[in-house]
Amino acid sequence: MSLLPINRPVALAEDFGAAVFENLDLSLFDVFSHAARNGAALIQGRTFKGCRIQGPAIVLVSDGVTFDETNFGDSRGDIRNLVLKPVGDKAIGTVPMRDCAFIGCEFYGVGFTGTDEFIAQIVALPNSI
Amino acid sequence: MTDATAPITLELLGPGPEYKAVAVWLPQLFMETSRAGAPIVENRTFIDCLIEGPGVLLPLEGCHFDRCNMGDAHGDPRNLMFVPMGPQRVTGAVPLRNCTFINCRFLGVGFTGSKTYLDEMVAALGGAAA
Repeated sequence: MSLLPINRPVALAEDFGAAVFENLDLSLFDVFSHAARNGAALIQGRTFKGCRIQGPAIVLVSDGVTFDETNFGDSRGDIRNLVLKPVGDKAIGTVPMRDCAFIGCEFYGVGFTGTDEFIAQIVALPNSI
Repeated sequence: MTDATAPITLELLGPGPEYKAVAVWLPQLFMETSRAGAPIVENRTFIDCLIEGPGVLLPLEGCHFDRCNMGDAHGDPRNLMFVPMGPQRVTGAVPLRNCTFINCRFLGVGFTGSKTYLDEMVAALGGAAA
């Protein structure tokens, strides 16, 4: 049974330090800001299930990030519209993520960047997987 | 002792159009603009401001950066730049139109746009083409 689309009422996340977010709606900035205030300049080791995830933000997808049955957002017919390629070796301005799992989530206003390999994988996908 | 888990309360930035000597958190700027019904941050002037990310700006027409510190690019201004893979749209960036930044400092902010725009910006910052 498909986890998407998410039709439940809005349920705002409150504990942005949680390891698991399930059936919650949240802004990436809130999770990132909480992590930054606790000494980590990235979102790491979290699981998001059935969440609606709001930008605007560009996520830097690093090691250990997985997406299962994910709606990456409104690509207006071309998933490349959700993807950016870093020009340099760094990716300043992004929200870095590592070792995070996204299951049955929907992204709104979020772009994605990462290694050439990651970019090649995502542009080969349809809007949802 | 400061509670690192307590929510942060931010003063509203307001609609401007001029912001002087204030710290501007980009997500907050976009959220306030969006809640006011506008999809683009436009017709604003930022003077002596700290513009803080994380965020990637998409300067559309009419944007100017005068005497600004674009932030720590780790020795290469291209580290601040992102090329959109899509031919017509960019998702996740904060769009700006007719905005001017004077003597501002950027912290944790990247930039995207057309390759021509990025090349010009990199050249202005003293780097090789994007």
